[in-house]
Amino acid sequence: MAARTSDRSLFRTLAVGGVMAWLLVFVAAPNLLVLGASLASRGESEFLALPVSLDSYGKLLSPLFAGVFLDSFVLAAGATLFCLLLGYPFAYILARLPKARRPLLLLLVIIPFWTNSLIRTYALVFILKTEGLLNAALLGLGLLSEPLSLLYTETAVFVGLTYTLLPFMILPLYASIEKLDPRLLEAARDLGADRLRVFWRITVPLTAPGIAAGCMLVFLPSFCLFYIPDILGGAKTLLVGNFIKNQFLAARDWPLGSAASVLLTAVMALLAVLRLRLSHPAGEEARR
Amino acid sequence: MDGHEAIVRLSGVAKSFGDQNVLEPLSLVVRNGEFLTILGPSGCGKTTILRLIAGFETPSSGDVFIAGERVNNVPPNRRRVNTVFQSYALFPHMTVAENVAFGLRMARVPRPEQEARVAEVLRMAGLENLAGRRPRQLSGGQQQRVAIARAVVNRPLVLLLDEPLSALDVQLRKQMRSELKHLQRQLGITFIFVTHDQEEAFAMSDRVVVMSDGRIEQTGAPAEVYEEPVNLYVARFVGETNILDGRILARDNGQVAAVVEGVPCALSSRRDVAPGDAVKVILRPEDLLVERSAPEGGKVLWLPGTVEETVYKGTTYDIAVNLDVGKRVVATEFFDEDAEKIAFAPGERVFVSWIQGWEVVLPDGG
Amino acid sequence: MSRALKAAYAVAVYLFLYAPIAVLIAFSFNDSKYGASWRGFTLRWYADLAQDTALLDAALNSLLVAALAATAATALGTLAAVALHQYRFRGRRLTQTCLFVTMMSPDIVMGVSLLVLFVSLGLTPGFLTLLLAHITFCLPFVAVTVFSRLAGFDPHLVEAAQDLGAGEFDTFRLVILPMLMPAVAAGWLLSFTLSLDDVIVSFFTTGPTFEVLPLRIYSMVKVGVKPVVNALSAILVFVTVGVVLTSHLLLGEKK
Repeated sequence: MAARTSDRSLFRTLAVGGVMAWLLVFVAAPNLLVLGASLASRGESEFLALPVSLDSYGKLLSPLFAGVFLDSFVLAAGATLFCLLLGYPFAYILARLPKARRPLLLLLVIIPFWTNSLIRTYALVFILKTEGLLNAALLGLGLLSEPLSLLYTETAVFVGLTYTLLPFMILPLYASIEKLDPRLLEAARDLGADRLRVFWRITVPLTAPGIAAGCMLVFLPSFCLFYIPDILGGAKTLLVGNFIKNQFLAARDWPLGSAASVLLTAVMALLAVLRLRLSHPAGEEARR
Repeated sequence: MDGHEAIVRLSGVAKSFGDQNVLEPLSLVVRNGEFLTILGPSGCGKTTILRLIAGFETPSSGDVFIAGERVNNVPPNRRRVNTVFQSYALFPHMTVAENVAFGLRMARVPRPEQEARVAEVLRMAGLENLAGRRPRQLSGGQQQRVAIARAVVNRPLVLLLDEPLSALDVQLRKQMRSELKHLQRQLGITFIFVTHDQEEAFAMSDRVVVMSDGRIEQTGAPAEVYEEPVNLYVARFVGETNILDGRILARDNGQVAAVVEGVPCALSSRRDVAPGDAVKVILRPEDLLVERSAPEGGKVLWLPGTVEETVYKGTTYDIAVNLDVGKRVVATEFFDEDAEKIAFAPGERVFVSWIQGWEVVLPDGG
Repeated sequence: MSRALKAAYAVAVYLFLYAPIAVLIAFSFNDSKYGASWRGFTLRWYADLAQDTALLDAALNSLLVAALAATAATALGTLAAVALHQYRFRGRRLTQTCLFVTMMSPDIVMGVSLLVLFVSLGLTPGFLTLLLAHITFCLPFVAVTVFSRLAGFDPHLVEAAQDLGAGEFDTFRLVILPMLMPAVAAGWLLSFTLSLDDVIVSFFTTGPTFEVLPLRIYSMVKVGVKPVVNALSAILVFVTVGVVLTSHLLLGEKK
């Protein structure tokens, strides 16, 4: 049999080496650079200058940023809660349908999920503006005498976030609820629990991983999708994402922008840990 | 072909995964051209031995030799052994012919020769008409033949079979047993077969290796292992056993004077037992004799007891007896329509003995 | 909870999801510049679209980048999945972490970090930087898609190939890859869509020399309603539906 020592290691080396090299250069390095940038000072002609300092992090505590962060937090929390309240019953209904019906209906959720978010946000303009569909409907039904000016308000941004991110909540919830064994629910009913009890004590805890995943997929992006306030909020509302964008492009304060970015990464890490805890209760080991 | 040269040799081979010792250091010699079966319960390490020979695992200590060459660091694709997997592992996206040709293709065998050898093997396996089919279109038995054909076409030095018959139904299993045996004889290749089924092992093998918990308990021809087990574990694993307690009184070459269940008698044993030793006397059901009355005299002991139940099995007839000394034994006799003693009834008083010389004496604690 | 109520709720949510898109598409046929109210059916916006060279150039650029990025990401992602599934190598944990970080990071964090990288390397934002960025964020999605397919394989198949004499490359080429094809194709389509849709990362990693469609739409839309954009959006939605259906069929085929 021909000896082919060469191709055994070569392919493996190339595959592993190639992938790792790419990830190190384009994922690890950039994140480290941003961390470094957050510790630098603002430069005159350059983007970054040398004196290393924690000034930028100090500026994060200033009323300017703190206000933006708080606003974003409130919006994000609100959007997450709303998506959860809206999405959970929907996912539940979908997951409990007869097996044959599910694929098509699921596909109908996946299509908006994949449609360009920018387009979907733009589409909301048509609904929300003064001469838009919503007002037309409300006026037509006689519920209003004057059109609401919804566009360019914080409410519009809230609706925009919820609308864009709803599928991101529905899909993990669906996946989690689908795995629920209906016999568990029957057993609970059999043992005397009423519908509400069954829901709180059985359904919710067992679908906690899905809830955690969905919330994470809505909460974090809510801080960052800067085009939503740009299009729907008329730049009156600022998300942390807008703030970062401004620091990098308009204000040219890269250290500050980087610091805010690091903050977001920290939030992401925190959420990831929380989610891991929720998915594996009672300290089970979460090894793959 | 010399049937005694070692084609595979394991020397002091041990394997652990983390802190779990799967194989204690063991040594094994596989003779060229033999059908060897490694027999043992799940988890005893028999599949690990196979994988060590195939090259999918490396030993934690010790050496593996194939045809005299140390292969510890040789990867599986360069060893002249082939494996038939329990799940068959047929490539789903290739036809039967392509599956079978795969090994030849890897060895860069010229096309015409490839086709010829594949055709020959398919004919031998009765698969000529299925050459163009995909694995999912085949039955379990057909898939299994393809798996064997795919391995055998490469003319390996050794063929490793990992419980290949376990997914088949009983009839097919029996049929495949004799087919595999014939195939091995025909090809002259060494087969190393792994199973937990004692009957299967005995039906096909030249030699059997009995394993438990990562250790080899005994290696030998089926008859040897059955009739002269080296310890209680092997005795129990390879067949039904009746065990009586005894103590050695004196020894005179092959003849031993002992007290068995309180009754003096003579035992034959070539074992190294000394006066005063506690022993176990192992008897197979077919070794036992059951009589309504104890014949007078003789060196043979007769133990009294009560019949608990009798089971008619067609060819044979099982008699379970509760001995007065407190043990339960089961005797098997050939069903003889003419014999009077057919009708043992539950509750009847009987005497149990055994065919002299058929007993196996083992040191207590063995 | 009655059947009717459940059905009504589900329908309401679907309406919520689709109404804006439906309105958007409807207004692409509206004969009015401001999209205020319905003035009549027309195809002129689609005609205008065909004339708008800047927009068409941007569209072509986007398609080019999407195709290239998808191909590169699929290659790298497939290798990553196979390596993580098959081999034990030293940087395993690190690789998994990097993939996880890329998938979970908000786009803006990614965009900003890559901008910092490119500036540090002295690269001017343009085609190359955009391409590199897109490949990077598509990679983990391919890896996950292919990995989950791999995880469903009979582990003995690779051993069987090795047992029969195949080296690493032959095993990959002749056994693993053919069986992975549906997942690989789905991964490509996934990457293509992700790349076409991307706004935020592209925002930070491309320059004036190379314009892409989502950014062009973005600048047009910030100003107000533009029916041409409606027409374009309608087309993009159509493309998305096609891609989703195809990838669904591909992944659903082999169970």
